[in-house]
Amino acid sequence: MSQNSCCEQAVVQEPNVQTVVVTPRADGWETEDAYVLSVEMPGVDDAHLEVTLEKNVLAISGTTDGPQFNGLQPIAGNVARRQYERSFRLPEGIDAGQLDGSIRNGVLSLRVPKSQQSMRRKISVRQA
Amino acid sequence: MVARRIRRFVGPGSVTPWQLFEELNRDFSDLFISAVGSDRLRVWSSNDSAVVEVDVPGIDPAQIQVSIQNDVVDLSIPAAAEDAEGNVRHHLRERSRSRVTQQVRLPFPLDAGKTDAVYDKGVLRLSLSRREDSKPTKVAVKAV
Repeated sequence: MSQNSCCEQAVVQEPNVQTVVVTPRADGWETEDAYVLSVEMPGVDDAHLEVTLEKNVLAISGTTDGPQFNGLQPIAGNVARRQYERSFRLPEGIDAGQLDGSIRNGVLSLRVPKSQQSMRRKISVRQA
Repeated sequence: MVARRIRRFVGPGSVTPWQLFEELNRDFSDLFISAVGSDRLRVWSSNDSAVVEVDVPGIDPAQIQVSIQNDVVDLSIPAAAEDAEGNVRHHLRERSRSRVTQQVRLPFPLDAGKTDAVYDKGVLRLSLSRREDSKPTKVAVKAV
């Protein structure tokens, strides 16, 4: 898989609300029959998450709620709405229609099965 | 560091009280950020309360340890569980797999009995209150 750099940040100014664009950390691995991604997106739930797959490019976008100040003053850290953005180029030979994903405790898990043709197959050798 | 600031306030070439406050505020800010990193830790404060948020995705909340002593919040956060099982080939490994210990020092002593800790969507949020006996009291000035 190829991907952009981890953890880059950019600041987008909106009236009264600051949004920080964050590249989330991710793990990616390959099993016998699928490619799996585990992406950290703390503060994001499924209602504020978008995953698209187009021509083997998997694009992920998720947004947290805005900060709840409740009369308090920010004194440390970047207190802004976070917008997670990242894309991954998946190898050829995937079954895009079977992409499956879920988000729990701020971790997005995605599984893309390999197509039947691309999976490793054992070839039996006959005695001549 | 604090003693040096106070000597500057009362001695020759002294700074104004406002300058001293700003320098102390920066020193407190520097004490907050350690193991977790400034991009994962956020702190809000007023005169009487504070909120601390830490991004800890994929953690079992029952394993998170929070303790309070005076003005210091101690956090012990376990490592995230390994998702990849069996015979796999790793292509990307960025997520942290180590236990994290984090200390946050606030500008006032805390009431541990009034602390609320919630883990939601991978974020640990602590709502903290200032200890009553540490709150400033108004002193009436009588006219003579």
